[in-house]
Amino acid sequence: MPKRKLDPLPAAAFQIMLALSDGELHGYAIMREVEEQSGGRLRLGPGTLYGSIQALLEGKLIEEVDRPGDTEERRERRRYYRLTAAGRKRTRSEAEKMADVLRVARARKILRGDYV
Amino acid sequence: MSEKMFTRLFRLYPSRFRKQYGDEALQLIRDRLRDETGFFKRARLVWDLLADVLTGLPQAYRNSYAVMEQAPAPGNAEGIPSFRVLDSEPLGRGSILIGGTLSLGTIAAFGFLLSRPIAYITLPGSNGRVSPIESVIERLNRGMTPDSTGGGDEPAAKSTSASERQPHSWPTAAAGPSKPDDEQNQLVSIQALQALPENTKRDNFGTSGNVPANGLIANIPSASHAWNPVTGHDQSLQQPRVQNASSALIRLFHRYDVVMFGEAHDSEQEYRWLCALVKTPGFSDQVDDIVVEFGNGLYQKTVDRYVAGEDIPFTEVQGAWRNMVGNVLPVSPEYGWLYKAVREANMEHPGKRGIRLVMGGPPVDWDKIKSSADLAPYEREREQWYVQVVKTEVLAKHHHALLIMGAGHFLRGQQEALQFERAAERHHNLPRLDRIKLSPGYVEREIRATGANPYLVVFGTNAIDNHGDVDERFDSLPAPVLVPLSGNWVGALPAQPVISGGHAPAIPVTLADQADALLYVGPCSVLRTLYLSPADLDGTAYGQEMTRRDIIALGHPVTFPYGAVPQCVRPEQSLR
Repeated sequence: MPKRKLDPLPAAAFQIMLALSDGELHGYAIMREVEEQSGGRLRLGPGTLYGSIQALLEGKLIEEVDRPGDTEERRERRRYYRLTAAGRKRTRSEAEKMADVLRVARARKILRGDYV
Repeated sequence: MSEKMFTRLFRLYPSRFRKQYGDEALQLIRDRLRDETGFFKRARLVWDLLADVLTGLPQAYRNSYAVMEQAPAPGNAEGIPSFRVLDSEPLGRGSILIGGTLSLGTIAAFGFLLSRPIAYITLPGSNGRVSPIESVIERLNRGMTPDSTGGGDEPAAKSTSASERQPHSWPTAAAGPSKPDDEQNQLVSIQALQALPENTKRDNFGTSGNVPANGLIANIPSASHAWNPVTGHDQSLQQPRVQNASSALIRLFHRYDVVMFGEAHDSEQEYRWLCALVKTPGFSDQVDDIVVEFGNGLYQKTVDRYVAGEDIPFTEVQGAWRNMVGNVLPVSPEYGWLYKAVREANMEHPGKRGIRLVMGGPPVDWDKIKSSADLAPYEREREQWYVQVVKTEVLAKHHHALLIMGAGHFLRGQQEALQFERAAERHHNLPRLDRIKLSPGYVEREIRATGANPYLVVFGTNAIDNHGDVDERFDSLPAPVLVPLSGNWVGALPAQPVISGGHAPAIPVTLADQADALLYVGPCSVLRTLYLSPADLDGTAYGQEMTRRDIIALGHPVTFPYGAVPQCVRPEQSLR
């Protein structure tokens, strides 16, 4: 039986999918986008980043895309990735789960101040 | 520097990962080196790379890389075990050397740790609960240090069940206090016992420690010549670590979910201490429930409301202890004191979850009890009912509880002790002492079977035989105290007379055999048993009802004692 690497979805994988929700990005751009969207709390190193990308590719949640105009040499070094339809659906589903948790936390007054 | 370091670290990743993402990952490092300049940013980059190896490496090995390479499917059928090669390249010599050295080092370190005793440390945040692993470690450590009397301020933890100990053997009088080394010395001399004049049994537990020459009682080590069969050491000079009873008992809940207290029924001083205990600051923080034998299950809801502070008439809640099963004499007013003390303790902290009094007695409706046959099922199943209540109301809810029941229900090896006592009285068919196997009582056994780790405290006196002799060393104890029984002269005393206040004779079972700690609230000279007054019983409905119940239970009425009577000197009072 294959391992279910993306169930539950690891935080790094979710952040990568979230970063790709605005369009295709290469690895370094994904890393920077994740750093920005997590407020600097999460900086993906190459091992985690590309390990997660590989898992997402295997799960068919993202796919590699060719950028027109890129030279062969450049393409070799800079691969671009984008969300698949399944990946977008999964990202939405995960975000909704988090929103549910957030609603409960608010109702129970766990979150205060800026979070409310 | 970071690029070189990363290149080396990257060798740890599987070759297919390196092949797939090597260039891109290196480009990412270069991008970061370009963008992140300055000491702190570079230091952060190095830290990120090191941390990334720890977090990213497992993921890199979990991936199959099948999507990109479209590797052929393995030939094995589903469900048939097979090896899968994770890395297509052979491991380098350096990798094998480093991996082998690390593995050997880890195995050696693990073996070294296993051979060392591990100090017991309560894990922060564990709320005093002991996990099965902690329990095993604790037991192993006790096995390595049998003389340990416990650390810090707590009574020595001693949860090893009596059934796990070595069979007992005792020095004969002729052999003195040394450890017996032959079978002959491990036997009770039946002939000597039968020849023993009655009047020679008196001073065998005198404080002088002189042991008479012959007889069963003479075979029991005196308090000052105590050879502990568990540790094999002479413990005559070891003093117990005594502590204030209330604070010590509360601290027990840092390590035990359940503390079993084997009470002496109707003891006034004991109940005054219990009432003070429940009002002690910190008790309600540690203890969720008190499960009492003297509580009829039919009254649980009424008692819940009463102890929560609701306005319940006292006469309504009184039935909870007055209508219990198992008592022949009218129930002591002390039980009502405890109910009231719990209510007052809870009312001091309104809004806070208070202590719950859990009715551990069978839910008998005395109006329906007309004959001994009606009563028998309730009498017979008192312990089963109590255990069931503990399981459902305490253990299933992961509560901390103080269990209160007559000491006879809780003491380890009590059945064996009574059996031996009866045999000794008949002076024949004495069992060999080394064959006495002390096992936990039914209640403790059932609690342990759930995985809980109870601690057993028993009420005791300074009486050391059934002829009025007391051990004056108790005078040095600042009562009320909790005395851990492992490895000291108190634990080596004969259990039965100490616990019964001299009503039962000394037999070769020590306090340490039967319990973990002793509650000592004062000497026999001050201990009193408290009963109801004549005004409460003579001609009253309750007095008449008690007579009716005694006729059902015993076949005849019982003469009621009144008021306060000495606890230690009248064996005929120990009817329950």
